[in-house]
Amino acid sequence: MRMNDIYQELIMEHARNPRNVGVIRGAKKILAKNPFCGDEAEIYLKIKNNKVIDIKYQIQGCILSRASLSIFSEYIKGKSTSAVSKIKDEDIFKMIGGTPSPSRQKCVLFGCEAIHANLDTWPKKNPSTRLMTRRSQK
Amino acid sequence: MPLNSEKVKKDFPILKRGIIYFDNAATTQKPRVLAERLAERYAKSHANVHRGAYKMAEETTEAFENARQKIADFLSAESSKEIIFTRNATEAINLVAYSFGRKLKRGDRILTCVSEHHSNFVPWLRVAKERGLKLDVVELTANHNFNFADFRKKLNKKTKLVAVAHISNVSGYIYPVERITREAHRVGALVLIDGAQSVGHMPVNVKKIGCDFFAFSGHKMLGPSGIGALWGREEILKNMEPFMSGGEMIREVTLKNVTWNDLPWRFEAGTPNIEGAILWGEAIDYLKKIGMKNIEAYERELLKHALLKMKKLPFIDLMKMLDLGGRTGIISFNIKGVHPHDASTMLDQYGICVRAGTHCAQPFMNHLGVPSTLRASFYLYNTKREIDYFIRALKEIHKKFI
Ligand SMILES: Cc1ncc(COP(=O)(O)O)c(C=O)c1O
Repeated sequence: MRMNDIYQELIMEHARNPRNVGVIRGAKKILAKNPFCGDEAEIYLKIKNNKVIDIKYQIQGCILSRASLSIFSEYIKGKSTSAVSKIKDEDIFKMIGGTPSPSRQKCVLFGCEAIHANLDTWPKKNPSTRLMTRRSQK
Repeated sequence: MPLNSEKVKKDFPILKRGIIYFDNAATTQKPRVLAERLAERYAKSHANVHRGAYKMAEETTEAFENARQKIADFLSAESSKEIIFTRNATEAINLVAYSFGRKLKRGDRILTCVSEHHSNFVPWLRVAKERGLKLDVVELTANHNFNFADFRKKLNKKTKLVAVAHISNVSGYIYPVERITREAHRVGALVLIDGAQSVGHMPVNVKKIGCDFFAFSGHKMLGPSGIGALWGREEILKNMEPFMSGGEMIREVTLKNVTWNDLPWRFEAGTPNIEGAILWGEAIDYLKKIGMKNIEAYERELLKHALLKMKKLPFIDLMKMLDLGGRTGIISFNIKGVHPHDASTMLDQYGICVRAGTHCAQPFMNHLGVPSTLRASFYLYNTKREIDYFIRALKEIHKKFI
């Protein structure tokens, strides 16, 4: 599956009305940065009994990054940390309705990656997609 | 004869893909003649340079050194000895940072500018840290041009090197490199000009500028990637230590000792990018045929055409870089309320290639107070028709996203 127009309804709707925006006092704060463009997110995760019981975030970024974090946050709320840690890049692309072109994949993933990295079990993800998304800054 | 862009366009097969290529500040497309010459060379004459004593090796060496001469002539350099082949402008600047910068002593100062491309900033930051030097940074004016008053204020007897761009790759502004050089020489500082955005877009004469080093890349002026050069004043290069070590750069090697080769080979360790250099020479022939004055005038016309239209669009933020004169065909801008990456993905769907990001100039982005921008940059194969289509696309994208 490949996106011809990544700005389809689902993405635009989430970008306009993002879910779970805000802060959680006393929760762990995670900083996520997309080195490619400088976009940033502050993510708050509340985990209890190995379960994501709440997530909030504030993001300054492009439509793709805002919509993806919104969709991802909805998806993981209430899930166990082990289930969340098993989510692969491809699963996230499916959630948002398609695979963006290589130069935009980081926009979708950088917030989700920061969340992954802050769960206790850091997953070994599919190496080929890891390579695709690791873009350096010129 | 003024430039005929529709005719020029036919020399660039890639444009038949149906794209509008407005990312020329990143790299340029190649005229057909380059691919033809490359095929010809590989089919007819190829050997290593400066080594074999057979006919084909001599032919290749001659073609390679001819290219060096073409490049020297293109910049009005005194001699081809002053042209050192590198991989690109970045390597040329690093050569100076290594061979000259590392001779500087604690307390010496290097003066650069906040708008520099990382390749003319990071090497200086690095030697400054390593050698205990002070790095001074020239600020910009209110409309983000080179601030000459601030430059004079920061220049002093301790300044050993001034390193600035000829043209900013973000604003397209042409910096007053002749005046900068005169002032710098008055306090005894050497001057390095990063000419990555100027050669190939306007006539350049290093003697007239008066600078000491000039760095540039082939791929930004119709040549292949992987080849660039440092021009340096002979009497200065002569007294500099080599950069890399190995074959080609030596005269004599014993088990205990080594002496260096003459200029320019002293700075060219290892087998060079032979075809790259030769094709770069071809690109220069092509540019000369069209005429650098014509190219400069045509690019300015495109800039004016685009800027006047963009200024009329209330949703376009040009970040105060509104000057029509004193700059080449580079426009950095944003669509208000639309992230540059979203905008560039959308423009791509119209077949328009522009750059989105920090343009390897994060200090400049911080100065502008934006995380990133869009950038359209023109060259001789672009047309006013393409710009009109681009303007229509901007309008439609704005409508979709807002
Ligand atoms: C002003 C300026 N300096 C230096 C460079 C570096 O050129 P290269 O990547 O060819 O070394 C560039 C190109 O991006 C540039 O625009």
